[in-house]
Parts: sequence; structure tokens; C-alpha cells
Amino acid sequence: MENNFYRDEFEQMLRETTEEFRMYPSRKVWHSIYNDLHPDRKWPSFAVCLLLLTAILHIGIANNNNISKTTVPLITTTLNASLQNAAPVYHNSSGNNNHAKHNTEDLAQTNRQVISLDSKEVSTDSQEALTSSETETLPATTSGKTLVANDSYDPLMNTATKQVVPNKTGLNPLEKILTVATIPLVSKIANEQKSDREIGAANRTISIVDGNEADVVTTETSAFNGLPVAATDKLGITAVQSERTLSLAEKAWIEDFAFHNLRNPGKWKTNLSFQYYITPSIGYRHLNKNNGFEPPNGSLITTHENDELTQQAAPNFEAGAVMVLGINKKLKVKSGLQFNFTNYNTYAHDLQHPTQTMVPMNDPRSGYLRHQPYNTTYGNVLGSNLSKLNNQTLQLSLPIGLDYRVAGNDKIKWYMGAGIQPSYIMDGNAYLISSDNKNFVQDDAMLRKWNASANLETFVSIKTPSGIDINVGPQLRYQLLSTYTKRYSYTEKLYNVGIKIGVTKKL
Amino acid sequence: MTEELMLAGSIKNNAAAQEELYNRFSPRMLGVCYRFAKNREDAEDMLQEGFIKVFTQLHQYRNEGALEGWIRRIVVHTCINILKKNKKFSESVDLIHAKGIHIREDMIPSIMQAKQVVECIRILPLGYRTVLNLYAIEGFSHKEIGTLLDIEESTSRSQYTRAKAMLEEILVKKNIIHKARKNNFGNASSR
Repeated sequence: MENNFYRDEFEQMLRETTEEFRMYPSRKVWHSIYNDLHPDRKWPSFAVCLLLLTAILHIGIANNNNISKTTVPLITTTLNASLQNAAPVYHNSSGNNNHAKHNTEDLAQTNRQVISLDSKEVSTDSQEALTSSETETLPATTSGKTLVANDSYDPLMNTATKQVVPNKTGLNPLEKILTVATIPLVSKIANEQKSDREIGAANRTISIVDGNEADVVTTETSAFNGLPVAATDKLGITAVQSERTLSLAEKAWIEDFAFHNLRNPGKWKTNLSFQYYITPSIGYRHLNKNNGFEPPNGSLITTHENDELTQQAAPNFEAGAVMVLGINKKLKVKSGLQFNFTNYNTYAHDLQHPTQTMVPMNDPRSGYLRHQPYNTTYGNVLGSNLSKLNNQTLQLSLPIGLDYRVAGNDKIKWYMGAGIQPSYIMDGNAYLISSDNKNFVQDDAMLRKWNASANLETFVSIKTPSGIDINVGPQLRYQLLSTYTKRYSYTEKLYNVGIKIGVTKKL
Repeated sequence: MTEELMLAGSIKNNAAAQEELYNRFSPRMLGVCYRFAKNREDAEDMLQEGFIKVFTQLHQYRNEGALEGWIRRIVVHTCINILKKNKKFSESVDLIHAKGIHIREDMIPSIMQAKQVVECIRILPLGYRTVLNLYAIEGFSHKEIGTLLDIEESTSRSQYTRAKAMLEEILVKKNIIHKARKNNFGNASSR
């Protein structure tokens, strides 16, 4: 680097400006660094996370239990505990009957509450009087304003509430934000209970604190005596003081932190994609006996059943939609819904008359082989016409898979993938081969209702200018369980090889 | 924790000291990475790799010059190494003319202060941005940039001239600098 670096005003400006620029990395960066530097200490951090998670859950559940149907939640928060003494007034409607004898200023004083992250309940007395009330939650203030609610229920009082709080001028915006960053939930109570009209009343004061001057405070006085709700504007001067003034560095830090650590709602979404695909393929099967049975006496079978039969591969296809979640830059996990059509053909001759034949079955009790008689018109011997038997199934699968990026850049990527597909067999044809391999018998009830397949794939993903990825690559799908139930004495495994074509779009 | 203690602890692989060092320098270093990276996620990846290098090479630090400068240099080199792995990057730094680049008003972020300038730098094409970052902000000479990016010194020089012109245009559009002032930048010196 050279010493005469700042010869150019422009460069100097750039340098000085960017020097001020800071960003706050997410904690996962440090965790990754830590795990890299201390590979032996991964467990404790995991345990701590687990502990924290449990604690948070516990707190969440415990807090939920405090909220009942008959309560009006009044929540205030503060960013700084040191502001407690000068916290904005938050006055809820938890007044009891004693409050009726106080004037409203007293009420304002006695009900002044320290802001805390808390949830309060309106007293049962109030609620009894204010039944069928509806509540409305107001949004948190964001521009240095706050709503200070003074909801007091006074059964005997039907007058306006006056609340005077000294206003401290000269607070800078940050202090105001900090001081009054409250989230008041102001309840809007509309009592419709006729029987309580004579004695029911609800007072509410909403003070808007805004900078150096006191804004008009709207006080609504709701009387439940059948008269229209009276609304009175009153001057309420509300002050919010901070005992602790923040240093410039602290303010800068807070501003900077807030600025650079905005919640990124899209971050989770950026890892999530939606994929449609279709896989035309050629499907075939492999047939095996699942016990050591021999053909019945007198059978002329000398060859393996797969050779004995005239069978042929047939077109299959899959179509599906999955959500793809990027775990990291290399690995993606996906799951969704997939429709499968499997098929292969066997050829049989139509017989002139139904013929009785035996089909090898496993006795469900003993597990031994027994030959079950069936009538059929399909023969594996010379007959009149040659018929094509479509051994097809319609399946609905829940594919769960992983894609691993082997290589690539922004434009084109090469992935290897694998997955498992639990499937429900919605419909299908089952043509069973007889014990002597000379006949076929159709018995769809022999189809297994639930099955599972595994798939291996590799594909190239190409990014289009519109931001959509097009994926193309070969796929092998292999059925893990037999097509047939355990009763049938043959095990059939389907497999198919195809080209998977997919479109992936980021959410 | 003093810098000496933090350094000594970090060299001894003390996690607390390392975290202290990381906390102290990571915000500024992430700002550096962000200027080079495509997005925040990539910047964090660069930061992570950079700090791993910092911690593994910390014993080589000889207390000559500021620690921050030493860390910054490692982080910048890490950024460049990561960028160089991307084929698109090598194409873009070799590109003399950034064809078809038109700065639209809506491309310019309306954020404030330093962030605004950084975001304006980040909308420059990758090659321009890298050379500008290295030359104008990190203080590398064109010769050093040429060596670092495997390009000709003259390429670095021309990339910088164009990058600067484009950035000025953006900054003027954004009213960060004014035209009169912009004109004053005409006679830029070159190293």
C-alpha cells in the first residue's frame, strides 16, 4: 500500500464514509468459528441450546396459563429497567369499589404502575360488571409516541377523568423511544349489559405523548345508562422521564444495531423452493419365489419363472410437487407429494374355456406353502389370441429426499440425490402366475396397499434468467417391498429408469 | 479485557478471549466483507472464513501496526480468494467494458449515511466493485491489485476509472455528492 493514499478527495470521502460502516453478524457465524476452533466442545453448546429452548418453552407455557377468557390483557414493556421510576403511566381498569370514592386524579396517582413486561388481569369485579365486553389491541408505537391508557372502572362515577402528569421537555428522540417504547394494549370496552347500565361506567383516558408538547388527550367516558357514549377531549400532560441519559456511543450503538439487525423475514424463505417435476420412465420387474417351493408333481417347468413368461417393460411415469429446503449451500432436503403410475406387460393367450389352476400361496398361519385353486382364462401356453396383461398400479407417495450439490456455479449446478417414497397403492391390476407357470390369474386383492420405494438420481440444475431453475437428469426408482401381499408366494420388485424433468422456483 | 490479554488468550485458544476479539472486530470486518460480497449471507461466510484464518495465524502477529489493520488485511485477502473461486468473478474483472450496464434510479437504495454509500458501491458490477474497494478503500496499488486478481495493472487502472465514474454518477443521482463537487474529482491521481 502506498502512503499517498488520500490524494484524491473522492477516494478520501469513500474511505472515511465506509470506515464508519459496521454490520453485526448473526450469532451463528461465531458459533461456526467456535466449532471450527474447538471441535471438542460442540456438545456443551448444544446442551446449552437445548436447555435454553426448554426454558423458553416452559416460560411460554407458564405465561399462557395466566391468560383466561375473562381477562383483558394489558401489556406494557420497557427496554430499560432503569426507567422504571419515571415510567409512563399505565393505568388499567383494575379498580375495585374503593376507587369509586376517589377522584380521578387520585386514581391516576394510585394506579400509576411501573412498566414491566407483564400481563395483568382486570379484576373479577370489573369483569362481572363489564360482561360481554370486547377488547381491541392497539399496535405498538413506533414514532416516539405512546399511548398511555387510563382505563378505570368506577361504578358510581360518570364523569370525565382528568390526568395531569408533568411533561419533561427536551428529551431527544432516542430517549423518547426508549422511555416510551411501550406496547400498551388498550382495551375498548363496550358494555351492553342492560342490568348494569345504571351503575356501570367505564372511563378511559388515552394520552399521546409526543415530544416537547403535550398533545390533546382523548378521554372517553362510557356510561352504561342507556345514553350515548360521551367523549370528552381533555388536556392531559404526560411526561416521561429518564433518570439515565444515554451516552452518544450507546445511542450510536443502539441505532446501528437496530439498523443493521432488522429482522429479515425473507431469510427463511430464501432457503425454501417449490419444485414440480415429471419423470417419464421405463418400468420393469423382478420376480422371485419367497419360499423354497417346488412345482407340483408332473409339472414340466424346467426354467426360471422370469424366463418362462413373456413379459415386457412398459412406460411409467411420476409427477409430483415438493418443497425444497436448503440446509446449507450443498445440501437440500425435500418432501412433498407424488403420483406414480407403474406398469409392465405380460402376454398371455386367451383360453376357450375357464380352466382351473393352482396358485402358490403362503398359509398365513403356518407359513407353509399351499396351492390355492383359481379359475382363469389366461394361459401361458398356446391359445387363441395373445392378450397383453397390464400389470399396473396407481400410487400416491410422500417422497422424502436429499440433494447434494457436487459441483457448479450460480448458473449451473450438478446434484446427486436420493430419497425414500412411502406409497399408498390406490388401484392396480395383479396377474398372478400359477404354480406350474402355465396360467395367469387376476386377483387384485393380492396387491399390497402400502409400499415403499427408494430412488437415486443425479441431475443438472440450470438457472434461467427469470430465476427459475430447470432440473434434468436420470433417476432410478426401486421398489423396496413386494408388489404383492405376503400371502402370495412370489415376491415382485418393480424398478424403473427414467429422466426426471423439474422446475424449481424460489419462494 | 486489554488487547494484550485478549491476544495472549486467543493465541492460547482461549474461547472467551477469542470471542472478545471477534466481538470487537467482527462488525467492522463484516462491513468490509459486505462491500465485496453479493449478499449478507456471502459476507458472513467470508467473515467466518476470515476469522478462522485470523485465529489460526494469530501467533504470527508481531505487534507491528494496529491489530485491526492486520485482521483487515487477512479478511480482505480471504474475500478476494473466495471471489476468485467464482468463475464469474474472473470474467468480470477482465471485462474492460461493462456493456449494457445502466444504473436505474430504483437500483439505488434509499438508506442513510455510510450504509447508503456502501450500498451504492455494491450495485456496481462485481469487477468494478472489487477493484474500487481494493484501490480506493483498502489502499492497494494497481500493481498489487493486478497481482492479487491475476489481471494486468492497466486493466485494474481502467476498471477503477470506470468504476469511479459509475459510482460518482450514482452518488450524484442520490444527492450524496453534488455535481459541482463531482467535477472536482476529475483529476484523480493514480498509483
